[in-house]
Amino acid sequence: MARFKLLNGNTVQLTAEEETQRDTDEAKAASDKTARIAAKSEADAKKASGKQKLKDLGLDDAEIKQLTGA
Amino acid sequence: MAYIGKTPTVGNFQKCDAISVVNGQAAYTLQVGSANVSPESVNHMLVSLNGVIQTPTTAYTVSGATLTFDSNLATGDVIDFVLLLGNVLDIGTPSDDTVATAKIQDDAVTLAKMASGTDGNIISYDASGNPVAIATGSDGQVLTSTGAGSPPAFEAVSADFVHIKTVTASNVSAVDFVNGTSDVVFDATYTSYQIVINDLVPASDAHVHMRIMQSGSAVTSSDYSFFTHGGGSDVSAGNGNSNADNQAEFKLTGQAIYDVYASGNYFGIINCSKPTTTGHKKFMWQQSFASDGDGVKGQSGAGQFDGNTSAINGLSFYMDSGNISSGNFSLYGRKTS
Repeated sequence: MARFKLLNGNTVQLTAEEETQRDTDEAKAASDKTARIAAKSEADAKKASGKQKLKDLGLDDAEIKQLTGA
Repeated sequence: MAYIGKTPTVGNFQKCDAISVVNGQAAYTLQVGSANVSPESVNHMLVSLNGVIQTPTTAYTVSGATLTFDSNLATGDVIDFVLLLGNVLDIGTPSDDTVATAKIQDDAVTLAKMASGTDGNIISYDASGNPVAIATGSDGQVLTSTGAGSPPAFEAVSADFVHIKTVTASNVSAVDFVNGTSDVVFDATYTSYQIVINDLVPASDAHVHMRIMQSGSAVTSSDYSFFTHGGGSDVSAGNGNSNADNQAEFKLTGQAIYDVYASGNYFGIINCSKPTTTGHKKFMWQQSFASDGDGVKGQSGAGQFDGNTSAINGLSFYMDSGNISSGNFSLYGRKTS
């Protein structure tokens, strides 16, 4: 399906090159989003496991928060 | 030139038409040019009868245009002349250049009495204090002072900060401003340009991206460097921070913009300094805000295009994924001198 852009206020159809670039941009956005979600999941998991290890060492939640800020 | 000697007496002195004596008649009508005339009073006239100047009031009286002798004249009497020393009916026609301002009552000169002029002209005064007509200006011009020594003039409004164009996006993949068409200016006319984005709503949750344009095309090389500093009322401080190099675009938002309009979804200001000056990399600065109705997200940052130092002639805005559902984009130009 053809895509359009607003050029100086006029609606014009994307050129073939622009369509290709748009596909590239959207694919990259999708992979970036996947990477962001994965990175956040990994960070959350690391945070949880680290917190648990601190608890296993005998620290309470207040002490952990003072140390890690979370 | 001042008058040398005694100033001439000015008045409406009139010699009446010859009067034929009627036997047994005392009253006669005074006329000049066959029109009745009325002396100011009995003392404003000279009457000669039978070669003798008559005594006012005693020998004659006057009422309006009627001269009445104290007795009836008889055949053989001759009214030699009647000379009027003024006229109460009108002042006659003043000689050229003789009516001074003191002779004109205040507020007596109406617009209708003024000479006709040119449509749109305004009356002012020149350096000598003489009235002068200010030439009619053009549509949109304003009357401005030109300083002492010359009258004001109609001139164009100062164009130091100018709204160039606002466009409204509706389900488009990008919004571009490019110099040269549809009244869009993005060249050396202004030192810097500002784009204000209001109420931007993406078709799906997405980030706002921007690319420079050179020769009318968006530059997609991985030469964009930028940082952003972000946060929000319902996210962790620093959520949205980024330090990025060798990117394919400027990422204006570190957090996704929601695809629903809630109390003004996205508002952004982007500044571009000296886009056409070659020999230096092009610098941008931006700040933006987004609302999801409950919380607000803020973002600020700066970016630079490292690919070359050539002139840029436009900017392109798009979502990293999906279309721009709606939004207003306004372009402004600013001068520094």
